[in-house]
Amino acid sequence: MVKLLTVLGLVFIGIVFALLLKKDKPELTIFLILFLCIFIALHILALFQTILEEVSVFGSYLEEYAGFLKLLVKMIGLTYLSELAAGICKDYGYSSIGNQIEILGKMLIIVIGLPILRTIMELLEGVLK
Amino acid sequence: MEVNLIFKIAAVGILITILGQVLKHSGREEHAFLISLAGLILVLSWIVPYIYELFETIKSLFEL
Repeated sequence: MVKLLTVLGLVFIGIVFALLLKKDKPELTIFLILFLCIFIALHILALFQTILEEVSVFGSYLEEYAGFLKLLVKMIGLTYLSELAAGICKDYGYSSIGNQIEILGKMLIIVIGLPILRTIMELLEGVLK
Repeated sequence: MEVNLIFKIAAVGILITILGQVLKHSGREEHAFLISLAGLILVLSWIVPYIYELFETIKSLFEL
């Protein structure tokens, strides 16, 4: 809870300064917003680290398909990063670039998910035969 | 380190705005532009290590 308060406090201070600079120096505000995003992201990643340690215990249950857990984690990372970048781009009015980054993230996820798809197809083929 | 970086960026922003206005009113327009460019690069140099740290953490955490 304390971590949340520190983050919120810092974020509100940063937003006030970003608004202060918005009128005549908008290019400096992007660094401020970027720094705030990074600060929050580091907290998110710390929490995700603890979640990951718990979840990796489940990996032992799916013996044959333990590799897919790693792919899942990779997908989460890709989604998070592309959403972060797309959000910042949209904040500054460049929604076209933001959409492109989102589509890029989705494509990367599809590429990573191809082995899983192949395994499912093989299982289905086995069942249907 | 985190908190005072925000104050530093805000301070640089305000300083540059004031300097720019002073230079503009005293007729030297291009100096004002150069000053704001310098401030931009200065703040960029502060932010880049943080961006690098974020990307390294993400790369190591998600094994990308």
